Amino acid sequence: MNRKERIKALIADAALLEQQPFVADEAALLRAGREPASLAIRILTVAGGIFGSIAFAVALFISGITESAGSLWALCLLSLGGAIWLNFRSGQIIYDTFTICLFLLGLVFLSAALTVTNDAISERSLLHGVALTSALVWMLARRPVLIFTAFLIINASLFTLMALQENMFLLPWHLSILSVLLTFICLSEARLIVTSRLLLRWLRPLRAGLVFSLTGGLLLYAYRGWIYMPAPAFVPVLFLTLMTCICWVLFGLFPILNIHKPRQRLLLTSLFLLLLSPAYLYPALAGAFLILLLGFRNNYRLGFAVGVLFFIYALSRFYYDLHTTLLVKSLFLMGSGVLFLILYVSTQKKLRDEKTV
Amino acid sequence: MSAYYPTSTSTSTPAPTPTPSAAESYDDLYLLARHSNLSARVAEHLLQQKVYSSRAAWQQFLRLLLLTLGVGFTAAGILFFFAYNWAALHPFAKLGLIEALLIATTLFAVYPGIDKTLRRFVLTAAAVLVGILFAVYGQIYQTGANAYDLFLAWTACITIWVVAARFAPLWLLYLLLIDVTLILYSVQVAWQWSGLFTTTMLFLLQWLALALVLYLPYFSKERAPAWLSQTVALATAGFATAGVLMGMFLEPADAWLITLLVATLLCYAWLLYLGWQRKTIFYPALTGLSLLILLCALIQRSLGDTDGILLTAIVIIAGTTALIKSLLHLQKKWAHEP
Repeated sequence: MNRKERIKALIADAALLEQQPFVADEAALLRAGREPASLAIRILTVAGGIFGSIAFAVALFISGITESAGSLWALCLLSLGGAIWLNFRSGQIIYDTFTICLFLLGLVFLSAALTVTNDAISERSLLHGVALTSALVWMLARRPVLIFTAFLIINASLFTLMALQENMFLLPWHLSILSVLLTFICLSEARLIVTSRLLLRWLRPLRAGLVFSLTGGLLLYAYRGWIYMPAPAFVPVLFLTLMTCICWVLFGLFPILNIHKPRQRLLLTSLFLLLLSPAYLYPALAGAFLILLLGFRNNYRLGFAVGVLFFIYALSRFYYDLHTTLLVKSLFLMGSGVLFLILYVSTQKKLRDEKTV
Repeated sequence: MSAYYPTSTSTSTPAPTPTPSAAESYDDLYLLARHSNLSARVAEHLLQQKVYSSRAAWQQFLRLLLLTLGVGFTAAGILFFFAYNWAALHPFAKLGLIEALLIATTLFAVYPGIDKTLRRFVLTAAAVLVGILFAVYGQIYQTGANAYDLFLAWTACITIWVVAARFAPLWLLYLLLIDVTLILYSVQVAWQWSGLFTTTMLFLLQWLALALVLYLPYFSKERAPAWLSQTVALATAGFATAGVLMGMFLEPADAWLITLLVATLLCYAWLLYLGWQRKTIFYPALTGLSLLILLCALIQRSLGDTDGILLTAIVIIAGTTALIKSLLHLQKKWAHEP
């Protein structure tokens, strides 16, 4: 089935399902489809932008052009302005590598210009500058890769700021917001894509940005040893939010799996929460599980792959966690493992019964 | 704008048409939402029907998830328990426990009547236990053997299972073990081998494995999943790129560099043919990326310093853009072909 046939079939399906007269611009749909960027192309775009900007920055720094504050500010404005201009002017993915390269160069020059202008400038001020500039670019961004990259840099700057200022008590709150936002976007996708064109453009890069930011933040959270940890009073915030999000996904899953009885739903939800309760000590596990579930639900391969890899990594880090003994960890794991196996056997039995009926 | 009037007001599922992939439907649905008055209800219905995981997919996923977590957590819990008491355990108990687990998993895997997927999973777990057994043996008796011995023995011992199981994760583990054995052998025993020779061997090995994985359907009913062939292709291009870079910067050029260069060119031509034949842009993208890296390295080696870095930056940006443009062109061309 080629693309034209696919579009026609989709329009026919939508027209059949709609209860109102359905209007679609078929010509625009066929025209707009000239840019079906696959994952390989998107990775190439961002990687090309990153490596290109690094090479350019190194060449410019070696050449000595960046020694004066004036030239640095000029380069910064030119790069950021160029990135925003290209982002508005071009509607094609082939210019995205230039856009990302210019944006990243702009941030490098901004940091260098701030340092040259004021020798005593703190890392905090630099990070504030980078985060604010990225937020500005993010608000103006139209191209998906720029939205994604700017969102990642905002979050990375905020995480680093928290770690540097020892304001780690904010991290659980930040990660909680990211988790809720990711769950909401994945579960309400249909409503969001028909609401506005802006959301339609932002949704997919934002989702990818949320997956990577949440993963990065949870990794930071998982490294208990080398950073200042949040006060114990704030630890449950993230755990409870992640559990609520997982329940949110599960409730949406019950109708798909034909589980309608309230008692069955309550039992399954309680069992899942019981199984995930060890994640109180280690929220990265619950976070990875949430990303994995959402990735599978939405057939979002990148999110699913990140979720699986992160889950395996979080489990391996659990072994090195020094807050609990190996004996406690062993009991947690064996208990959960046996519960999972009971759940497996009971679901297999239910499926066999269904087939027999 | 064209108006399409429903032929029926029913919300029942439309008649099935040949199904495009979920990724294609997803892109098309976003475009439809942009260029039509699609309602949220219908958008949700179409997403559920064409993109999101179906009931059957969820059942399969949950089955695998529960089984993997159940077996994995229980096994990890047992290992953690023994790790807690490890120092106090007698060597016989240590080896006996792992051997008991190994025998139990193997017997379970050959037990008639169990699910095929479950059997393969358990056999993979048994293959991992073989490695743990060798490692514990080496630790207890301080055999003084080189680590490559362990990996070689591990590889040899699971060969029959790998052939019998026909399971992609087990194949990947097997290839990884062969690679590690070869690398450790070159470092610990055949230290006179040049790095270039070892990398060439590894590259040729991955290439052979890729050919086996891709042409498997011609010899057997089994078809290897795309993720396996793509992972092996990534390793093939990775070793080829690393080898040529090594030849450029680290080691004196010898006959092996010529061999590697010729083999790399042949392999990349084959990968491009594969991409064209199977209408997948993964292989041309991989080849293009590797060639771009090599071109940048060549510029850096020839010019060096500021000029080289500046030209490298330009080549990265221009090369990536040209590569993306040609990939998009190919993708568009293939999308319009039946």
